[in-house]
Amino acid sequence: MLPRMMLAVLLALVVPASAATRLNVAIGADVNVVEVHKTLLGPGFRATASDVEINAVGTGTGEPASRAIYTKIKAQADAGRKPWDLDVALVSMAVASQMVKEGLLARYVPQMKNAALVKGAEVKHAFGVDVDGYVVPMFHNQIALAYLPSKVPNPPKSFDELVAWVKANPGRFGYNGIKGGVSGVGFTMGWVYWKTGLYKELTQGPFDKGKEGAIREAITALRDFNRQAVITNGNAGTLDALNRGEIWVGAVWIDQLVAWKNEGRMDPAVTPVLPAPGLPIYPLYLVVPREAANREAAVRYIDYIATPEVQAKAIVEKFGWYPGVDAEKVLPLISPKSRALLFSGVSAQDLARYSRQMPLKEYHDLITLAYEEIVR
Amino acid sequence: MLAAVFLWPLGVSVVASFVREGQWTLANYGTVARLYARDVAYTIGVAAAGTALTFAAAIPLCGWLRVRAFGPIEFLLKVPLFVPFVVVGHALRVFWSPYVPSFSASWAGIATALAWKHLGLAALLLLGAFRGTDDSYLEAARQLGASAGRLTRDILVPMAGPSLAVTGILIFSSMLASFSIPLMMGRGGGPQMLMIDVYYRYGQHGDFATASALGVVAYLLAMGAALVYVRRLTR
Amino acid sequence: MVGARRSLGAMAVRAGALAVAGFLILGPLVSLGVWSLAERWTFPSPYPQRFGFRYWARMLSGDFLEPLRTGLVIAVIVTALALLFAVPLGYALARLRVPGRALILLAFLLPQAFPQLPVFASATREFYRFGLAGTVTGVVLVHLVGGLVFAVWTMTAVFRAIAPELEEAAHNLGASVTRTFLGVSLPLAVPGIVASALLVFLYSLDEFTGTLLVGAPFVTTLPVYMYTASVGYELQIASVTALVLMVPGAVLLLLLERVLKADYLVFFGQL
Repeated sequence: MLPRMMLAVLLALVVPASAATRLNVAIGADVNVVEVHKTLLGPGFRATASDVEINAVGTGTGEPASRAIYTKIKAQADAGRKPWDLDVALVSMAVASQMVKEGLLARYVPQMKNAALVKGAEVKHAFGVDVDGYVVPMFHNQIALAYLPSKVPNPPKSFDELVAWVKANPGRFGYNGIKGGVSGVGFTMGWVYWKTGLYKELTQGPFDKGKEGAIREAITALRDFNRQAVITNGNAGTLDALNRGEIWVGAVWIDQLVAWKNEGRMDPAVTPVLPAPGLPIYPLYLVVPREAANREAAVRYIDYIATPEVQAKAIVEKFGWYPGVDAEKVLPLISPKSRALLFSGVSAQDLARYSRQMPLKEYHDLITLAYEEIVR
Repeated sequence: MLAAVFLWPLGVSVVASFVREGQWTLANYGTVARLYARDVAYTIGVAAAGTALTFAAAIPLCGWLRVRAFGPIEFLLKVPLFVPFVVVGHALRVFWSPYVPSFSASWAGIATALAWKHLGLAALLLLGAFRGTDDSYLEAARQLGASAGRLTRDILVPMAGPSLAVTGILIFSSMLASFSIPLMMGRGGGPQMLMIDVYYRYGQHGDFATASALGVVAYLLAMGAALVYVRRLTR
Repeated sequence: MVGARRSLGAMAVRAGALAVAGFLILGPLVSLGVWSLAERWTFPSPYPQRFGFRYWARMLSGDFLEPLRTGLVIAVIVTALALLFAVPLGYALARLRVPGRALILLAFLLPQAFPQLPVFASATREFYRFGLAGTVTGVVLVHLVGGLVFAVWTMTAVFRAIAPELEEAAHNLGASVTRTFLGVSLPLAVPGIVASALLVFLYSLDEFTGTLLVGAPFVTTLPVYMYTASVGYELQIASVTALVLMVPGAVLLLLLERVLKADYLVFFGQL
């Protein structure tokens, strides 16, 4: 075992990777997303287009990973050099909207065969920016509450119930604040929507500084709520705390919950629930930089990922993500078992009713600043 | 080269800390004061606790080693020198996590990890200083029946005073600026180490101005410590 | 009789001290090993429920080997460049009358004495302007700044330790400064140069902060990979990486303990 391993290590170090038409794909997300591109999507695409080789690179974790991609592209734009060395990037909603605003992306969706499948409010607007035609969600990801059924027979189905539950069970609810990843940011946004009742205004604008008072009031209430909650160490930290039984309810990414269950790292009994009036959905977008060297191949690759069959096999069945494109076309293709797993706890109707958008950028910044100042 | 890669960016960040949206301003420092004053105090506190903990372990051990040389322990004390910061952070995190998971994220956990890493450096410097003291004093005291503990307290520490101070300052300022250990240990709520705040501001928000202002605060803190160190080195 | 009891007591004290120090210092490192073999370890079990090599086998996958290779390449380049620069400079600082000697030595100390993170954040932005960020060249530059500190200081110490009389003798025989350097000082300094090279190599291999910032988004070395794994609570993968990262340091500690003088060891504390 050991000598063979060492030999393989040596070989891998010595033998350089072969070169073809390399499509540089930068993945601003965790290792598991990079894995999908390397092991499933890349090879699958290669089978249909033998002239292109996918070079998928992860750029780190969390929001800084997407930001690094932005900074890189921005620098190339500022330097006036062409073409740019990234062909496809997977970036967060926040970064994608900023890039659209600054004219750094190509409007490529109309050139796709599957363009008609790219639907939904979040491919039109993100953080108040018109992103129509610039983005295709690789998958959708929903923030939800996860709970231990053994300890919580009647999980809170709304924010009101959650507040009452936390009061009755202090120290048993956890989320990761706003510094440790987007699931905590999303929970905070959901809280503000609920508390202020300003969901429409905060997501559709126009920006009005006069709303700051209401926002700060909501955040002050969150500070008091936090006194009986646990602030966990990052997105994965919430899952870990649930796993240990340290907390009984936590705000999590549904995809991470499924991934942990798939890997056997998580108690399979843990179930998600989407509380009224809702928590944000936060897709990762596939984008093409404006001056991508291999733009045509880039669009083909994204087109491939947006195919309902690929979505069903790689995105839904294998990883438990919600499809990035038209769910009505994708869901009939998945097995009943995967479907049951996908909608256990959170049904398709729940998603339709309670998935919230992220607020306008200006409000987002106001909310996070208020959080840092008031909650700390 | 050094100038281009270190001094220039250093200067740029100092300048950037006084600029917001193209205007000269102190607003970034206002943000620091408003959001991070508590974190500055926390960072100083953790660094002080870490330094104290390092000394609390290193002084008796080195005193004892000075009086009765014992190779295996001296070797052990060198081990942390060769363990990279990132690994230290991770190792101490997984060391606690199966038993007291919340400890690694507490201020005490971070101080302990910092102390663990700096124990090697402290032991090296202190042993050097202690071995520099004249044997005749120790012999004389030993004749009078003083124990290793007494010898350390009454002779070695006072005689190595200046070296001790320099070591302390070196370790303290290194702990102030520590990034990888607190980052690896992770921490959810509550105050954060200063460098974690810098990374959050820069990495999450792309807010270079506030990150720089936080940086300047850290420079100033380190400068105070470094000045003493430098004066000692050049003497 | 009394003497025997006393030595027995002394032995007990020693054994006790050794046990305590051993546990405190080796404990966390051993737990890395345990974690790397724990295929399943869920709270509140005090020990892993299933052991195995699954996570070590993951080492073979590309996403582990790629950072390893990148890190090694960078470390080799950084070491070569640092020595190329530090050997002549160290010699000059140790032997020749260089104006502002103390100042130069101090300048090289700066990167270690100052909080690095905000400076590297700033450097990253500057690097972007020249297309250096996210490239191996950029990471090499950042590592060089830190690595030169070690290299210049150790090389100065090494050349100072060589007796000037030898060089004077060469001089008296009519050799030029350069000849003396190449023919006499350099060969004598070889062990010191090796130590210095190892130091820089290790520093570069283990460097995290600069690589995280300047290397993003494309250059990933093992410390950065380990961080990513640890954020995702992939504690086993991070532990495997941590152990691999410790190998060069451990080899150095075991083999070179006698060769390395305390002067150099001090620098390891900054790794």
